[in-house]
Amino acid sequence: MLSSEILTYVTFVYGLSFLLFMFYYLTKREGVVIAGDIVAGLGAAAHLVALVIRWIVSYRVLEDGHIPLTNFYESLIVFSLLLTLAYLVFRLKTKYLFLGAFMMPLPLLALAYASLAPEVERGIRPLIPALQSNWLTVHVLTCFFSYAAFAFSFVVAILYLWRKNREKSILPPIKTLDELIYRGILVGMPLLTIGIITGSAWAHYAWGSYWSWDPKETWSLITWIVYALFLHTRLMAGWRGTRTAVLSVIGFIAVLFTFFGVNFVISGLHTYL
Amino acid sequence: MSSIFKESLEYLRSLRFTVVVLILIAVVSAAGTLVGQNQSPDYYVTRFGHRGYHILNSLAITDIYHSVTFNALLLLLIANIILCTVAFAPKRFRGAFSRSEPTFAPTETETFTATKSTEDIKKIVRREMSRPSRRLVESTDGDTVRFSAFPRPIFSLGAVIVHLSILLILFGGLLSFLFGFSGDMALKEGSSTDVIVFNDTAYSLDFTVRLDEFILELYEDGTPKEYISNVTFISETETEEASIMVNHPAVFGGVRFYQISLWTDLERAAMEIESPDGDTLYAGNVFPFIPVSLPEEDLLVLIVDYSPDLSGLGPAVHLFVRNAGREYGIWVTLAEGAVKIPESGGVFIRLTDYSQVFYSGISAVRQPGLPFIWAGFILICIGFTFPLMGTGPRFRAVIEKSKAGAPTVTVSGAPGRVAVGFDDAFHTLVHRLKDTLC
Repeated sequence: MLSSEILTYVTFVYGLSFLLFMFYYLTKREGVVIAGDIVAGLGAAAHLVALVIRWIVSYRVLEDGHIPLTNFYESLIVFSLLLTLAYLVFRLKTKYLFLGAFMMPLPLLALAYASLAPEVERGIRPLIPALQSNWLTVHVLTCFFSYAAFAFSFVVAILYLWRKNREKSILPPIKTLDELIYRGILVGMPLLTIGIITGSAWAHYAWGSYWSWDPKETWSLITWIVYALFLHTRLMAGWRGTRTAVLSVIGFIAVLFTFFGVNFVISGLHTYL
Repeated sequence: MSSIFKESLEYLRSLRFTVVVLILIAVVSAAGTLVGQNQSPDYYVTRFGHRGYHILNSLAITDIYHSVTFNALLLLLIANIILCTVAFAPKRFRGAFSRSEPTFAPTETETFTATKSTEDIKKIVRREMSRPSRRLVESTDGDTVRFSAFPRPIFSLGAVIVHLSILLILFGGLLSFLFGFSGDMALKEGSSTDVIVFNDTAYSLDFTVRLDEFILELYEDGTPKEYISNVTFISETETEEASIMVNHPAVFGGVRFYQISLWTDLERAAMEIESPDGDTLYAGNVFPFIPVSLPEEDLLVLIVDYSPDLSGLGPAVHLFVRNAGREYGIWVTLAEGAVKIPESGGVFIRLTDYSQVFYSGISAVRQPGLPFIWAGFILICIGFTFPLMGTGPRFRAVIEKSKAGAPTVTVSGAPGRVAVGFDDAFHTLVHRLKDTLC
């Protein structure tokens, strides 16, 4: 399939951008990061094209085509693109050069896993009745946008924890890293909230119940609670630094369990994704 | 006594209590997903052993989300949200609707001399400092004009709105729990009922639901495409036809009907019973649980179960057979042909045809709290976007007439809640003003 072939090349393009970002730590030259950004941007553009092709192809091979957001493979390739976009938005909004080498491995791994893992079903399948809903797009996209924002905060939180006891570093000051963690969560939290709310509204139409304590629902709530704790402790109790960085790491572990863990460990209503 | 009450109230509304309750809710919720909920005792015994099951069951962990402990935690959370919202909301409301200009200590200041007239400077400053998310306040004091731009105070209401919307959602849920209902009904084509079942208890609706037709649409590869129940709602005063599909519930009499499942069962089986001599003793349709009796042969046959595919052998019926005072249970498949009834001296029984009937699983739900839940949903989405808009920087521009006559512009600023990006924003503003004014 053409889209899969493009995504294979995109994996290598992301790999190249990662190497360029690593090279920055050897050369300390801004131009290397800009080159890496351009390569990552081109990869993201091709990634988007591959998704659109898959979407178009679904209308050819199925009676009713659908947006590529309906199974584990599609969620991985969309998440991978959103992770790259999160990095690119960060670069457009700030002047910091440090993040690429640490952020790009995430979309690279997600895409490589989606493309190579034998257990991941890559075919385009028709939609079962429960998935035939307009809520699907907004629910899945907002959830994955929030996951990408939380992934950004997680990476910066890990860097914060590594940086905090070092006097000199190529990384920005810990105060800046601390604020970046907060900024990622400030973006991710409304998106996760909208994701949960739209999922809940969809469940209302599909199953007649807003909330069924399905494991995926429950773990998304747990994730939401962890980030709610982050916001409360930061804004009301003035927590900064190590404690909020650790909360960000815990939050992303909850995200990963919501995304992957629930599917592999626990069965429930979300078995298709 | 009042002091203890006051201290308890203080603790209930404290951030420490919020943190404790949220952590407990998260931990209990996680435990519920890992243990598994409302499964059969066998499921728990297999996973945790008899002792483990006994412990889990006695602590209500097998139905944790409906347990007293979990609901008590939710109540404590509600109390905490109400008390802390009551404590901080008035101040936030006053701030949100205040017309006064907030004060700030600038961290960056830059002054330059402009070559334009004061009126032109004012126009340009207005244009450069205005943003939809900012309030721009302009004041004049003699020859001095001040512009202040800061996040709109209404954005400080984000936390209040989020808290109120959580309460609205929980209140809506409570209303539905107290005054609503939810139950399931199973209907086969042509049948009707006014009974719904919830937790093994039957409840009656004020009207009857008749399933006129059930349609199962399949894709070419056999995957289900659509389940459609065409029903008729019949009350004393009106009759209404409707289609119920997954994601498209029907509403009648304030009750929403959802397509939640379907299954098939045997409608009738065409069977033949032959004597040892090969004579046909019976040939015709047999219906589930309606016996076929052959007194001359001292034989009674009754269909008690049906499998669409018995161990890969295809459709099969499970028969209860009584012959000469002895009773047997035998499976007869469509594929394997005639089956000899044991101890009967050679009477054979054969399944020659069958037809299935669809049962449509429909959930009937009445939720009086629905408007509150929707209002809460919309408000929480709005409330969470407010902090995003309210974290921006504060800027000030002061236009003064210098002694030389040319106006000077002093731009100052301070970061908002998020300092990252402030330097860029400040210097971009200054450069743009300089480019157009100097």
